[in-house]
Amino acid sequence: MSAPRSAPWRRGLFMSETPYIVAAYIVTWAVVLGYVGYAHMRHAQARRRYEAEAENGGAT
Amino acid sequence: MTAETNGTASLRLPRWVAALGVFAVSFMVAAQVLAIQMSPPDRDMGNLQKIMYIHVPAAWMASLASVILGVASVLYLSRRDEKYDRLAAAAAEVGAVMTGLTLALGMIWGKPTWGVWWTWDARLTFTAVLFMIYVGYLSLRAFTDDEQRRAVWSAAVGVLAAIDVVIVYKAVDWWRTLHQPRSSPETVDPAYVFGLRLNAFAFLFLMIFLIAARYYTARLERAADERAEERALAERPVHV
Repeated sequence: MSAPRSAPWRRGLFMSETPYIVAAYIVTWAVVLGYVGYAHMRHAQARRRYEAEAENGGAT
Repeated sequence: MTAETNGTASLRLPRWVAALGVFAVSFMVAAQVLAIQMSPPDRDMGNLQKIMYIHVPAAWMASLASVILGVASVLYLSRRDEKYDRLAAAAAEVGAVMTGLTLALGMIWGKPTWGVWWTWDARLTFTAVLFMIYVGYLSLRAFTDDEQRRAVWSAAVGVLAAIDVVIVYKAVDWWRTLHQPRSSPETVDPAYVFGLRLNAFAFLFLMIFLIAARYYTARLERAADERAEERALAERPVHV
């Protein structure tokens, strides 16, 4: 009889499916943090441009 | 100049948006740790089931973003208010990210469970079509200079995204697909429902934050454009 999937030794870190699970979570966090960083950078860029336009005497 | 940007553009993101961003990322970490720790391995898939906590919420948010895009596009077409165009653009960008993530995670999950990275299954195909619509929408906006024309054309594409997401949703009913039925408390084992809900809320908070952040950035960019236009007009030489 084969061991049930919930047996403790089946819950170890290094099973054949581990690379897929780790890859999935790494991809998720790379996308989440990457896009949050991109959104932050775009806002900072827009703010600098707005301030530069104001200093150059845009709307008076 | 629109009333919304006329001298009132805030240089910083509203405080609630910044706070939501910090909360969403923290909540996502906690939700993933909790869900992974709490759930037992699945009878058939073993620990691969853990991918459900990111793949399914990402797919839900991709669909929700396209609904927001569709509604904002229709509102723009009927009212011609710039704020709906900005909301649609923000939803499309976040929707493209979520759809891309859904496809990538689906491939990573598909290889060990189905034996293939990709198959032309109805649900997968229409999700890929949704991704293409998002990419098309963003390309259209990037390559069209005339603001009004850009808003009208992109709104038409936005409506297409909303139509496609209905097909994605119903694909598992209309066709015999390799993809499993849609995830809900009726189709998911009770041991996994709490973790899935928790992560769905984490993705929802993250998506609201991202759409709001991109919306306010677009507003600030528009205000900077208006200032530049005013300066250009003021500096124009007067011929007598």
